[in-house]
Amino acid sequence: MVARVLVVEDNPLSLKLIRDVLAYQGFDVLTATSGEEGVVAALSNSPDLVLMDLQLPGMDGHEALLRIRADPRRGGIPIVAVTAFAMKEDIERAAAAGFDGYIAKPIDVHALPDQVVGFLSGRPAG
Amino acid sequence: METFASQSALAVFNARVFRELERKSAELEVASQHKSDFLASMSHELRTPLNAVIGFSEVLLARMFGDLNERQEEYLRDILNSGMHLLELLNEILDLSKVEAGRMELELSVFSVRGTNEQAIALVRERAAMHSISVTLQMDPSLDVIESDELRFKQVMLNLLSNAVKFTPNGGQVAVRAARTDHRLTVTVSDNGIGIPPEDRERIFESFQQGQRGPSREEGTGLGLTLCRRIVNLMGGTMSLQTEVGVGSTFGFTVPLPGATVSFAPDIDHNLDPVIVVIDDDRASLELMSAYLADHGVHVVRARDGKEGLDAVRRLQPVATVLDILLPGVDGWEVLEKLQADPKTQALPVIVASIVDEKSRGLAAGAADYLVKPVGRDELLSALRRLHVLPIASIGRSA
Repeated sequence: MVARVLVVEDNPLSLKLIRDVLAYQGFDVLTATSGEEGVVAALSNSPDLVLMDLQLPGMDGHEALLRIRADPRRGGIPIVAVTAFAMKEDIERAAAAGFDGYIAKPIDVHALPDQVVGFLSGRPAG
Repeated sequence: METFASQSALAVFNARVFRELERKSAELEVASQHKSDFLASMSHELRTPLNAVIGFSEVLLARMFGDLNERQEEYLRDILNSGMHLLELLNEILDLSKVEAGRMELELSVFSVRGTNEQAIALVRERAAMHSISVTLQMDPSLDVIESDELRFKQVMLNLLSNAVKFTPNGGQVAVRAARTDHRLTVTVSDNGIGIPPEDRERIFESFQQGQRGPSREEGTGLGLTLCRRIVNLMGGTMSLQTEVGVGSTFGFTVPLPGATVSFAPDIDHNLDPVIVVIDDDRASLELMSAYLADHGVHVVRARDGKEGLDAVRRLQPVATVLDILLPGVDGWEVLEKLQADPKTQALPVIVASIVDEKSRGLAAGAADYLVKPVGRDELLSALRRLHVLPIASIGRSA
């Protein structure tokens, strides 16, 4: 079965890059361009994995995570933080907030598919 | 009377000058802070479009959406290389502004000097081979693992190495040497390039000065050496340069090695917090475990493989060790066995945290606890509490 990945990202170029690379690798890719849209898509379209940008205008990635996690039925899906500043404090904050891992920007287009496969198989970050 | 008048006039004048100076230096501090904030946000704003330039070039070069002709591939490589160059420049500007604002912090871990040097060399190997330049590594045999900031260490090495390769003529030689003297580590990178004339020797450490070292094959960022010197200073060390025109240059750095002679002692020098050693080859897992343990009054020392881990446990006598099983070289089972066999480490509790689900084997081998990955924060913390390693939250440090 084809894994469905939801990408939440407000920058259109970053979104397109991630979407196209994952689609090329055969993933079923859904997109959302805001935290609000991301929460709705995560809860109604049953993705297998969510890639969540942290810096979103309005509802940011952390808040979107909390909203998704608050849903008793679908809130348990793996959610991975995508962050431009993969510094220690950001990683710590993301781990503490309940993200299942993180992917650092810039996106490495060669490594991304393996990273996604890793998160889908339930391995810890990396 | 006249003397008194002139003296009090002088005092008033001095006081005014002093106030003026104080005001000026406060203004300068604010201005410098603004500059750093500006640079940090600019770098971030510039990075996003740059990532698109790099990412889409890579997608096309990977032929994801069709083949390329020679000219297209060449231009795409030019776009990609220019993008990478800009990104490197941005990162260095950001690092420099961080150092200048006093915001760069070292993240200490235990790592192998040889391994890190080999990784840095591997990154310049291709460019060196293109110009038939040989790169060799000579290590003091007594030099094993050190505790320092691995990423920054590698950053300095990579800078010195790429400079050396860049300014060495075709067929030349680059030699890396690492040696320990007492409590200091000295690493040098020598080339047999064209050397640096005396008037440029100090200048090249300043921002955006590349020196007149003949026609360089590729432009550098002009920030590399400035940044190296700042990082080495932050590590408490100094940089050195020996060079002769027409003969070559040797850039090097010397840093103090904390705890280099501490082999088995309870008086760990960094602070009084109890030490927990985390052994895991996956950087993200290490970050995660460290994050879990942050704010719990413990000092986390990280090791990236079994050998480093064994050394750290023997040297630091940690209150607990968190051990991964699937490690390159000496694996977790072997680490456990060695720790159990050594009377000095036998009593130190080890918690296995691994994707390998073999709890009974682990406990039989002497592990105090066995957690299967993914390990959550609470899981790790309660395992440590069961071992009475962690103080109960908010009661404070018992050490």
